[in-house]
Amino acid sequence: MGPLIIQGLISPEWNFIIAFFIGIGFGVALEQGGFSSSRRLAGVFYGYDMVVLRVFMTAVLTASVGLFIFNYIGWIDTELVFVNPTFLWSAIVGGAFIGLGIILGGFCPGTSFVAASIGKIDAMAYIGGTVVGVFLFAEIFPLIEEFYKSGSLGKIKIFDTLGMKAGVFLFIFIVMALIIYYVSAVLEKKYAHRRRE
Amino acid sequence: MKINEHIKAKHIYISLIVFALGVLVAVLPDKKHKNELPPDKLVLKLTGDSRFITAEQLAQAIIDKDIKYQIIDVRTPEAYAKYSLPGAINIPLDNLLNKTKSGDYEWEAYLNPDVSANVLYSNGEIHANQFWVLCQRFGYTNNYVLKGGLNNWFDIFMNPKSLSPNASDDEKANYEFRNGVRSYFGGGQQTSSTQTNTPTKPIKSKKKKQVEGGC
Repeated sequence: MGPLIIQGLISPEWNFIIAFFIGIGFGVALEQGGFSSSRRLAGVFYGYDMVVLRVFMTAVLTASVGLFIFNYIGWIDTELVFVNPTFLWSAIVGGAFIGLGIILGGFCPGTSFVAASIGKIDAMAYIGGTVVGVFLFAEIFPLIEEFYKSGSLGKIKIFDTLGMKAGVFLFIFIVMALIIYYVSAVLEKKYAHRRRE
Repeated sequence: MKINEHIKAKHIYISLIVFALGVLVAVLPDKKHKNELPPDKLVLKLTGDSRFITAEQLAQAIIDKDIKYQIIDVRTPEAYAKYSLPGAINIPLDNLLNKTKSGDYEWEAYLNPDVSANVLYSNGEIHANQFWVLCQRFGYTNNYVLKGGLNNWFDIFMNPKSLSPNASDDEKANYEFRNGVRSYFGGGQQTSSTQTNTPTKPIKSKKKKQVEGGC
């Protein structure tokens, strides 16, 4: 059955309309979850507020367990789902950059739009910075192209690389997530004094 | 209720449910789906002629004992028992979707060969074409249809038209070839009652070997 677009069950035009409404839903959920607060995002790095970590962990968990079970009962064919190709070195450097950006600005790209939509000026400045960054990246791209494409590993999946069944990996991931939930609660208590309202 | 300062009872319950879910996904087997050919690509293939193999090509392959082709009779077992082409196995159209107990398609190993190709035939072309379309949807690409089916086979090899006096060299050569084929297959006016054959029973659900190991 799924993925709906690749299988031709939804036309690319409808794809945009559906994505629009899902995007609005995502934004509302982020806002309601308190993700428009830069204190909350920065809290992950200082240890006093781990909600963001737990929410994203839960989202990944829900999506992966859902995909696995949907694939098992035949609602989706995960072989047809787009997998972002891995470029190892640029992913590491890019990850460090975006981490720095989040801790400096207090937003990730998605939450900056959420916060800007409820009128936060720092979020608008953050979006401005994002646009300037995109522009600069495009301008210097010829200089860094070689590095950008280095460490190309193709469309790999972590459980294939580790040589285990997807379900077994998912189980390990779930156990890891439960431990992280617990540790994050402990950390929150420990660093609660860092919280400033 | 608090278990300790960090965990409440509801956290324990939710964690247990999530853990149970984890155990479930760990024991479920990874399921691979058959990738079906999208309808638009199927239509493109249908409009072309590339799925056909002519009676002459097939006859030549049979005479040469060419192992490249596996001939598949898609008619009923009764029709197959009365007459079939040499070496043909019988997979009736109605049985194409049969599954084994383990849930695999029974005939997959035959219909999705790696190096050889299948030639499908029925009396006309319709049933063989239907068979071919289903195979395409499953992504089995090494299947061909005998053009004109058995009817055409009989027309050109067993009841050939006599050659006109002003036939071209090509037509003469073709006529010679068809006569050759006729004598190879026992010649003359074959009727269904004179040539019966012991059906070649295919071994069911021959599993394709999985590639083992690798990098």
